[in-house]
Amino acid sequence: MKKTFLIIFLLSLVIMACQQELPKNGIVVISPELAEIIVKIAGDGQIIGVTEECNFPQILQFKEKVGNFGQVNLEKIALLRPEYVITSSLEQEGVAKDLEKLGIKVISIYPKSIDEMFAAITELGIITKTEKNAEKLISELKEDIDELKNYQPKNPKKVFVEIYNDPIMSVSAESYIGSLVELAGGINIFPVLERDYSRVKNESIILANPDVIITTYPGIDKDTIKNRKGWEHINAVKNNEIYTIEDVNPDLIVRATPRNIEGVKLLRSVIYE
Amino acid sequence: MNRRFSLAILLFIVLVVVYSAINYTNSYIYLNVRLPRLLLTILVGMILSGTGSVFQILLNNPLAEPYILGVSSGAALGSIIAGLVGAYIFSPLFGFMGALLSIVIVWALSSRGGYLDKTKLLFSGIILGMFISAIISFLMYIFQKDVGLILQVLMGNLGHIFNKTEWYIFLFSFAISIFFLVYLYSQSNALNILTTGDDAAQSIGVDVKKLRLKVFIVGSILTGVSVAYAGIIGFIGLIIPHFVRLLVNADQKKVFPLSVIYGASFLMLCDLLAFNLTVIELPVGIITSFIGCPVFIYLLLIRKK
Repeated sequence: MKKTFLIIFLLSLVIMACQQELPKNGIVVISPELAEIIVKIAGDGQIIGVTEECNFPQILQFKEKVGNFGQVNLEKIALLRPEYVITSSLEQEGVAKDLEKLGIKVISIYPKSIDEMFAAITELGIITKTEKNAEKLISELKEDIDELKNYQPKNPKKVFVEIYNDPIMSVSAESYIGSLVELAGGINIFPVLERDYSRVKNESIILANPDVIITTYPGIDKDTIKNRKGWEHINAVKNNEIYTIEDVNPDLIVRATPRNIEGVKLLRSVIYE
Repeated sequence: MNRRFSLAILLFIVLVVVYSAINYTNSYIYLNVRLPRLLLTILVGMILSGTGSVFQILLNNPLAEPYILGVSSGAALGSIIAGLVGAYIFSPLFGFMGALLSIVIVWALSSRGGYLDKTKLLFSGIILGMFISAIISFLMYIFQKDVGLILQVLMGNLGHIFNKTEWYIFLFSFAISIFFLVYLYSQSNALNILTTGDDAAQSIGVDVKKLRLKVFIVGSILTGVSVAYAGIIGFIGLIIPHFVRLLVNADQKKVFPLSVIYGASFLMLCDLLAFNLTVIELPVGIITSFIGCPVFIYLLLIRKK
């Protein structure tokens, strides 16, 4: 009898020891744009896990990978015992909910405009305890943007941004890419769309006659666009003003990061120079 | 009889005019964008309902439709793979290759043992279709970024953007398809006899196996063309032939041409709605089912009385 009690007592000790909370520290970021911002303001020291898409700055490539943007490995994240997991809310809402069920603190940030990107920087500054760096970065970025806003093109050009070809899709002025194109001085031919990222009609594109075409997805080249039936009279096609991801790195304009300044400058140079 | 045909053709012409006139901008855009879309819509509508009417007899199954023999899944898989590897312009070609491959597999499976049996044909088609659907689901899961592309193949999209060479290939496919449709029409008598049963047909002198094989291959090639360009547009191939059989008695000589005309008209109507109903263009496959199902149920109900 005594023996049994002793065994039970010892077993429960072991179980209790296992349940004891290990200290949590570090951040897992599963959104590439937020990872970029964190490294910019706080360095990579606090980051203990990222996703495959987190490719900038290069230092992130050496971090533990917890899956890719759409499919993260929850077990791997749980094993890393992060203090926070930082997600983007667009397609990651489900993941965020699952992580919360595992008792992991989740912070979802999805900047949809430049102002929201500033808010994201502030929030990430608080999380990483680098508020001052965040503030400094924001004021620098604001200066850069004010400078960008001063630009007044002599002959404003009409721009068509193609984010997918089948079905053919574009962006509205409300979208992130749309606002950057505007900042670059281009006139978006689809300022108003039902959704920020939406299907558009082939007929409307030809009718709008854009001066510049910018594509943001892989697998398409200039000749494919030039050879589309009915596109030969579009100004951009006639003047060879078609730019693909080889000309404009999509990460600079699709992600909401400090690198957008670079992106806007690049857009401006392809549109106007 | 003649009145039915005139009515169908009148409706067809009215829809062509409406389709062309709505939001008309200028002749250049009409010729280069609207007209190709119109031709594609008409072709797909004709193929799906014509082939549907033939397959229903071929398989002696009122639920048969052009997609039932796995061809559509094969074509869809081909198109999707082309899109995923970035070979967008080859998408119709890949789609068509996928269709041919699945035709060969289904045919090989169902003709084992020497006799092309309709039950075996149906089983092999359905099983292959399921297997390929699983592959498509797998691809969808792995390549989440390209879900848009995969969905538009699975839900149907008549807004295919042609490049110049593709356009000539399409015109060629159009001509070939019309030729094949005429061929299917020419088999109407034999198919009528087939409805009396394989043995009866055989005894009258119809080579049932040969007939079934020819009609299966021609129908499948046609379906492959339609999926390659427009994705999977459900329901037309099932509902239009039945709709026509409610109008005329089940004589394939009347059912087939009427199905072809009504199929084209119905798809034009659906695409008009898909294009203009909401600000966002809807996948046409959704519209065909939305309209088709209630109308068909209504027709069934009034016929009972």
